Amino acid sequence: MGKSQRPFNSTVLSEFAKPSIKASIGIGAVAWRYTVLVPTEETKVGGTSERIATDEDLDNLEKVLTRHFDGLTTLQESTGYGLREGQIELNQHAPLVVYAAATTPSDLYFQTLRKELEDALVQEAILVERQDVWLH
Amino acid sequence: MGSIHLIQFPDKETRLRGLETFRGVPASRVRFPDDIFGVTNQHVDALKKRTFPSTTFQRNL
Repeated sequence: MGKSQRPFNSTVLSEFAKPSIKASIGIGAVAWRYTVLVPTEETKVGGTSERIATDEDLDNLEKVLTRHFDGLTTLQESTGYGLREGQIELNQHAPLVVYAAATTPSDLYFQTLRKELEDALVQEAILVERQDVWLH
Repeated sequence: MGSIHLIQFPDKETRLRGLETFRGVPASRVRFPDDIFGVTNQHVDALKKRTFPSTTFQRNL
């Protein structure tokens, strides 16, 4: 029997939420811009849509990222296509964008977040992008 | 360029309805501590279409 979804648990991030992960803004410094693609809907060919992350999951996720990084941007939902077991599927994602300090603790934070989302939402892979940016 | 509105929902239930509404809006939004949202005119229009009473969110904090 497969695993079932459970609510996103933000407490797993507490030990990684150190002050050093906040990006330095306004002094001219390198930062890492993380984009977390949170799956919200999944549709298989000929099937009906299945909700993945709930509004409550998104609220909890946005809330904890806002608390740990002082704010976030949620881009408009994006559509992606995936191939699973030879079947194409269509996925809707909410892209959440956060600026973080360019340090190893930031990577540890987002690795933990990715793992928690994969477990809670029962997803093989949650995409987390990291880009180098210069913040003036 | 459109206006940016700072809004805050009065309680969690209304905020969740707001997030559901925002999912269909083709524009970015921002969120700050204390559950303050920075949204576009499109987000505000979407809330109005979902018949959010004007008292359920505050504009231009």
